[in-house]
Amino acid sequence: MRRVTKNVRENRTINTVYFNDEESSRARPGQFVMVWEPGYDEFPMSLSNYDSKGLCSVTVKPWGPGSGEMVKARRGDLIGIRGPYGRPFTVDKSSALLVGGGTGLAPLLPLAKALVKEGGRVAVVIGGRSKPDLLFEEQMRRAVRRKNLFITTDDGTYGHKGFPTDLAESMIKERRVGRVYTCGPEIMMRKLYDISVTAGVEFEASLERGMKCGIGICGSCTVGKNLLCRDGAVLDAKDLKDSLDEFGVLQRDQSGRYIKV
Amino acid sequence: MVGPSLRVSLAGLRFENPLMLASGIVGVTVPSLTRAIDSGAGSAVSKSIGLEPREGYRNPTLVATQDGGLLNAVGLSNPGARIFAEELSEVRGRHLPIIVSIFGGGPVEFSRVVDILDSQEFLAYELNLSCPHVEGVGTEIGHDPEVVASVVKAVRSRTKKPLFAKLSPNTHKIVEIARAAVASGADGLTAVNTVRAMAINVETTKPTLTHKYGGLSGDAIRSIALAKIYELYEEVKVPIIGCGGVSNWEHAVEMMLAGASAVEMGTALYQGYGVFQDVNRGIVAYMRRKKFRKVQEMVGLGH
Ligand SMILES: Cc1cc2nc3c(=O)[nH]c(=O)nc-3n(C[C@H](O)[C@H](O)[C@H](O)COP(=O)(O)OP(=O)(O)OC[C@H]3O[C@@H](n4cnc5c(N)ncnc54)[C@H](O)[C@@H]3O)c2cc1C
Ligand SMILES: Cc1cc2nc3c(=O)[nH]c(=O)nc-3n(C[C@H](O)[C@H](O)[C@H](O)COP(=O)(O)O)c2cc1C
Ligand code: FES
Repeated sequence: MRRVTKNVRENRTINTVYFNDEESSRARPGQFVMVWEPGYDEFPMSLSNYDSKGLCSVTVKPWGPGSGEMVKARRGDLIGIRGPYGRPFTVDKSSALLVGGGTGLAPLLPLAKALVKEGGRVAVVIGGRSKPDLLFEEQMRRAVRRKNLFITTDDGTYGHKGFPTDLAESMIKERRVGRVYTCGPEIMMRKLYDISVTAGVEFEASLERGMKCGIGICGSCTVGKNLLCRDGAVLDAKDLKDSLDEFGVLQRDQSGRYIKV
Repeated sequence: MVGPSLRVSLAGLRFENPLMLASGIVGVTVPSLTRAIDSGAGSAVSKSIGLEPREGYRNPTLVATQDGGLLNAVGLSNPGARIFAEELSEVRGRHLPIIVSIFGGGPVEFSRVVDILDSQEFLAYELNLSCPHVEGVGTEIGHDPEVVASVVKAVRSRTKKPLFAKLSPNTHKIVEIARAAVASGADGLTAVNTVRAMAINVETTKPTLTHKYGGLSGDAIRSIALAKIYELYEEVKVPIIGCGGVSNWEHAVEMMLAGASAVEMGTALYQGYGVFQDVNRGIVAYMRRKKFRKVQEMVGLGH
């Protein structure tokens, strides 16, 4: 088990919880860990930070008992960490557009750093309902050039007024974007998929599904034929092509029944 | 010269090869079952389906143990017979080698599940009489020869499809139970389900699984499964499907030598769906080396 080293408040709902874990510190952008809050739940979380010294973090929004307990974590608390698991984002020199909403920024932060290090051109759009919902503005500002960071709020309280998808669409039309990367609400990711495929731009998204094992055994995390924990959580346009009746539309609940995303 | 053939037939069914996807492993959905078959499994067994939808237990539901095993208490999560029947209706006409696993609290519930599913297109039923961690529908049923007989009889009277009774290793009465199942109309046996087990976390000082008890699978149980198959082969005259800890060709061959006509793989799927192809290739190479032309020639050779 691992000890929590610090818990940082990011905005009005989201916290980043830090811990030391050597294996996770060797992760690649987009990989996730299974976090165990003893007595509550075990759930998948994208790694939002990991460094060569073994310091790692997950960035959590409280929904249910597990994540609800996690945001209250205190220095010294014990948590279980398994992983890192899953297929990472592609890191190369193609001109990249990263679009994130809410905790979806978590896997995009290490991705942005890795892409910049690789030497590619990297633009980032951070979306939020309102100014207090934005995540990682400061961190992204440190990771990419100032002129390549864009903010949108649905209500116009900060940055561009509107949805991140609208801004992304015009950027795809005006600039040479090689690949769109996204993580956030699935409806947003589905819109970006449609925009990217129409424009002939490569596309990778990190999706979320309920997970039990995280290692390709239990079958609870399917998106069509894909097992999200193994084939994802990052899926590309080719993986998603046969799953368009599910992506952004339907997911399976823990019993295997379809419910709306 | 033609190479060795992997084709097998058991209980009137014919499969391209002896490997099967075990119940409860990725196969909660039809796309996952299809993918296992496309990846080289000769057939695929669905997650165990009950009468009503079940969410299963809260996580942690799976934990790796230090003896090379995997411990699970998923809790028979499944969408229920009606919804699963709908899902199966989508593959009608595709003649996929799908076997549906079912569970229930007794003969009446088993019968109702069969009535809902039976008109769908699939090859056979596997009766889960052996889940070690769900009260009322698992080993309480599967450890009592009389109850097993009544369940198999009830299902037999409602379907023409072949029936495989999946047995629990957690009993000294396995032969008696197998005989009861066969006498009541089972066409074959699957041996074995998981071994009842537990893991305790020394930091929290409590059992790791939310359900406390779970079922052990993987490497840790292979030798146990092998002995049960060997014993059953000597005592019962119906085909046996071997299951428990198989993750490479050598394990699969070992089970066939013990008496298994086909071999299920579950936990080995942590290697990915490619494991079916790998194991099939290994079996073929072995057969060539030992000059076996048919899988059947190996079955029971260990006796
Ligand atoms: C690969 C992967 C990476 C993930 N990374 C992160 C991450 O970095 N940060 C993060 O906070 N979460 C992340 N998640 C989601 C996370 O695993 C949990 O689903 C979430 O924290 C809720 O868990 P819970 O057990 O607290 O709530 P549950 O008990 O599962 O849910 C409580 C209630 O909240 C609803 N709910 C849960 N999640 C959402 C959601 N995202 N949107 C809308 N309603 C929801 C449920 O439907 C339910 O009604 C990730 C998931 C995956 C698969
Ligand atoms: C996560 C998991 C879920 C399982 N669910 C079922 C199930 O629903 N029905 C069943 O008959 N067996 C179930 N089993 C047992 C397997 O089918 C198999 O008998 C057992 O895992 C031993 O084989 P293995 O070592 O190859 O995994 C499950 C096993 C695991 C690991
Ligand atoms: S979480 Fe178990 S298969 Fe993906």
